[in-house]
Amino acid sequence: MATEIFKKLTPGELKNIQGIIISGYGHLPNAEYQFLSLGDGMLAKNWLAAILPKITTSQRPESENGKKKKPGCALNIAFTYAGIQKFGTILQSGFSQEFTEGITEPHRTRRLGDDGGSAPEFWDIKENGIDVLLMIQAPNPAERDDFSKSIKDDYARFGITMAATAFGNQPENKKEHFGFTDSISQPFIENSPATPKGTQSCVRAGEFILGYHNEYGLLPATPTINGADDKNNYLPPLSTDTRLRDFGCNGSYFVFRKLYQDVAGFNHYLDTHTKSAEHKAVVAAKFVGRWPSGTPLVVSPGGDIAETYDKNNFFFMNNDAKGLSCPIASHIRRSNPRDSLAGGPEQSIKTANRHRLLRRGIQYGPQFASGNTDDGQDRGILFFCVNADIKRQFEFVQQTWINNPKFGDMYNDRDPITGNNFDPKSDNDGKEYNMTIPGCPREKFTDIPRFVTVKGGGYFFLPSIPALKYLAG
Amino acid sequence: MTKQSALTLILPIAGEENAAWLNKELTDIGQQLGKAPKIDFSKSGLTHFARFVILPGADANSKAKRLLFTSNLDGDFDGYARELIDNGIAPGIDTIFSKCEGYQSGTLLNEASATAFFNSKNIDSNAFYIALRGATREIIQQSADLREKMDHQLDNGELSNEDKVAIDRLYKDCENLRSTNSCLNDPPSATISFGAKVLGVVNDVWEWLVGVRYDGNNPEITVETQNHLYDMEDLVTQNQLTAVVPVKKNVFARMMLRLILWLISIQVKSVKGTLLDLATIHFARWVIIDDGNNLLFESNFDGSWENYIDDFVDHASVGMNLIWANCIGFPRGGAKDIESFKAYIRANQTPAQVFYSAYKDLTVRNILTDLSLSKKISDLTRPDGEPNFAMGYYGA
Repeated sequence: MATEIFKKLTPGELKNIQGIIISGYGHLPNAEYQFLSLGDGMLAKNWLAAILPKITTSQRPESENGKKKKPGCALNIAFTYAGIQKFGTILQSGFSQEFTEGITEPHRTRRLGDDGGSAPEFWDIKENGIDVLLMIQAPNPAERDDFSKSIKDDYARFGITMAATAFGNQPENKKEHFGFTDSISQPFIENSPATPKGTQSCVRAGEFILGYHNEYGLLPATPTINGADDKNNYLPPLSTDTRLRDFGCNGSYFVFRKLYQDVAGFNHYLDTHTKSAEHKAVVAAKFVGRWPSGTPLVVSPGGDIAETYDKNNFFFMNNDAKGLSCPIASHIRRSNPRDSLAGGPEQSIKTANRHRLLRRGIQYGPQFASGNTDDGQDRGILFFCVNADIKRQFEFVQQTWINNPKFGDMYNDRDPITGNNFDPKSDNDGKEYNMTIPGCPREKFTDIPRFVTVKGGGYFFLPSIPALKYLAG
Repeated sequence: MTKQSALTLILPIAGEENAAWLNKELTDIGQQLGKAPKIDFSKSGLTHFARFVILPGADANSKAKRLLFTSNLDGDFDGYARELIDNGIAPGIDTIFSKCEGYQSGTLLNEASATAFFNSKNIDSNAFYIALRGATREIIQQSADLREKMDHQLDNGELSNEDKVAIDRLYKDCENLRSTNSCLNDPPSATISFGAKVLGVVNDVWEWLVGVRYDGNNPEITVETQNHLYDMEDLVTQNQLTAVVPVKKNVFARMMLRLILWLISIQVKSVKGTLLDLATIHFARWVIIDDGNNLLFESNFDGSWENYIDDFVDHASVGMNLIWANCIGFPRGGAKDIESFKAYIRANQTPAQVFYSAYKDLTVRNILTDLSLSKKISDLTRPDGEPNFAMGYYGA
C-alpha cells in the first residue's frame, strides 16, 4: 500500500478562498441575502468582473500592529447550477448530482423530509429562477444598507433582477427563537487560520473545500475544464490529470434553507404536555440536549450553569451511554452524535467526522414576545452550511440522523426540534411521532408537531476567487 | 431451529410483448403492496422479503429480458410451495410465471409440481447472509407484538417497576416465547472468527494480484442521475438492492470468485447478528448466474442507500474488494474509492418492480432489541436486578 501524502490547506491558498468558508463573521451580525436572476451571459460576465474586487477572501490583511484585520463588511457570492450555466462554461467532469438537480427533485424532497407544509410548492424562496446568491454581512444595519445600495445601483445596467431578498440578524446572546444558544458546535478545518471557540473536532480540509483530501483520505469529486479553455491560466491544473484545469479547487458547495420556527406552537405544546414551569424548562432542555445557556445536559444534568466556559467539551458514551442525561432522540445527539454511534466510540467519532457541516446560519424575524398565541410574524433561521459533498454531509445528516425514526435503535422518534414531525397536511397515515426521555419512569411525548417548517431552499456553489475570475472571462 | 432459505429463480421472458405486460403488471402489484395487491405476500407466514425484478439480457448477445424472483423464507422449498398454495398466493405468481419460457401454466398450483419446480429451477446462492439466523418471521412478529404490549402498558401507567404481578405476567409471556424458540436462548453476538483473519490475509495477496491499488482516487467523476432507481427508494424502513455485474472472462478470476464466496459463506455462518459490524442488513445473497458470466447481488437493508454503501466501505471494504475485483468495471482504487464504487454499483443496479417486506417498520436493530427483551425482563425479576426496566428495554 503506497504511503499517501494528504493535500492540506496552506496559508498561501487563503487569498483564493471566499471568506465565508473560513469565517462565520461573528463580528458582523447584520446580513442581507440577495437572490438574483442574471440577464444575458455577456452582461453577467461584465457584472461579475465589476463586483469581483469587492468579494471578501479568507486572507486577512495585516494592520500596522501586525495583527490580522477583520473585514469591516463582507461580501460572498454563490451560484446555482442554472447560474453557472449562464456563463457558458464547458465542463469535462461535472458538478455533483445534487447540485445539478437542485433541492426540489421529488426523490430529494423525500430524502430531506420536505413534505406537507414544508413542500417546495409552498416556499417563499424557490430555487427555480435563482442564479446567484449574494451575501452581505455588516457590523450594523446602516452600513449593511449602504453597502447593499452601492451594489444594487448597478443591477439595472447589467440586466440583473432580484428574485428574493432575506435579512438576517444575529442577536448578541446568540439565542435562537426557541430560547437556546446556537452555533456552539462547529467543526474546525485543519490548518484553518480561524480560532475555534472551545473544543471542536478538527476535520480535514477536503470535507469543506474542494482540492484537498477529506476524512476518507480521498480528493472530493470536482468540476474540471479543458486546459485550453483557460486562456488566462486562472485555474490550477487537476492534480491527477494535468491536461485538465480544476474549476472546483478552493471552492465548495453551499446549502441554503429558510427554516420558519413556530415559537407559539412550541410553547403551546410544552405548556399542555408538562406539569409545571420547572418541568417545562427541563423537557425543553431534554428536547435540545442543552440548557438555554448552551451548557450540555451531559455535563450538567441537574440544571443550567450559565458560566460554563467550554460548552462543547464532552462526549456521550463515557457517562451517558443510555441517554439518561441527554436523551438519544435529542437534537444535539442526532445532529452530531460524536462517540455514540454503533460500532464503538472510536469508529463513531470517525464516522461522525465524515458527516459534519460548517454552519453559517443566522436568525431572521422579530423576537417572539411570550405566551402560546401566534402573532403571525415570520421568524426563524436562515440556515446556511458549507460542505464539500452535499449528499454525504447535509443530506445524510437530514435523512439518517435528524429525520430517521430508527436513529440510535429507536422506533418512532425523530428530532423533536427540527425533525419532520406530525404535519396535518401530509401525515394522516397513523404513524407515530414520539420523543422519549429515558429515565425511571421514562417520559414519552407523543404526536409531536412540526415546530420547524421549511420555507425556502437552494443548493449553491461557492467558487474560488480564480474560478470567479475565469467565469468573468 | 428453523433455517432460513434463499430462493432464486431466473426465467426467460417469452418475447417483448410479455416483458412489457409484466413490467406494467408487476409495477401495479408493487404499488398495491400494503393495500390489495394481486400477489399478497403478507398472507404468507414464511416470507421475510420477496421481490420481482425484470432483468436485462445475460450479455450483449442475448438481449431477451429475464424475470428474477427471489424470496427469503423460513424452512425449505417443500413447505414454502405448500404455504403459497394454502394461503392463495400461488395463483398470482403462476400468472406472472406463465409469461416466461419453459414454465407450464399451473405448475405452482399443485404441491408436488411446485416443489419440484422450486427445487429444480432454484439457483443456489454462493453466499447467503442472514442477520438473525433462526429468527423466523413468526418469532419476529411475536417479539414485536410483545414489545408493543409492554410499550402500551408503560405509557398507560399499567406497568411500573414496582408492579411485581404485571412483571411476572410479562415474564411468563417471554418465557413461553423463549422456550418454544431456541434461537432466543442464544442471543446473537458479533464475534470476528478465524475466518475473518483468513480473509484478511487472502485479501492482501489478492488485491496485489488483481491490481487494486490505493494510490489515490479519481476526483474527475461525474455521477449520472438515475431517477428510475431513486423513485423506488426510501419508501419503507428497508431498501432494496439488485445488481448484476459481469465477471471477468479469465478462469483465474472465476475460480477466485467461487473460492472467495465460499469463504464468505462460511464466515457469515460463524458471525451472528452482524455482517462484520454491519447491523443494517436483513438478508443478502451473492449468486453466480448465467454459466458463470454474471454475479447477482441482492440485499435487503435498513435506511438510505448512501448510508448502506458508506457502512459497507467503512466496515467491510476488504470483502467488497475480494468479491468485485473479479468483475469487469470495478474501480481501480477498490471500494475505498467510494464515489467510483458507488457509481459502479448504481450503473449495474436494476430496480425491483415488486419489493415486499414482511416487517416494513422494523430495522435489524429493532428486531435485536425485541428479541433481547425476554432476557432483560428475566434479569429484572432477580432480587439483585437493577430497577431500570423502563429505560433498559428502550433501545439500550
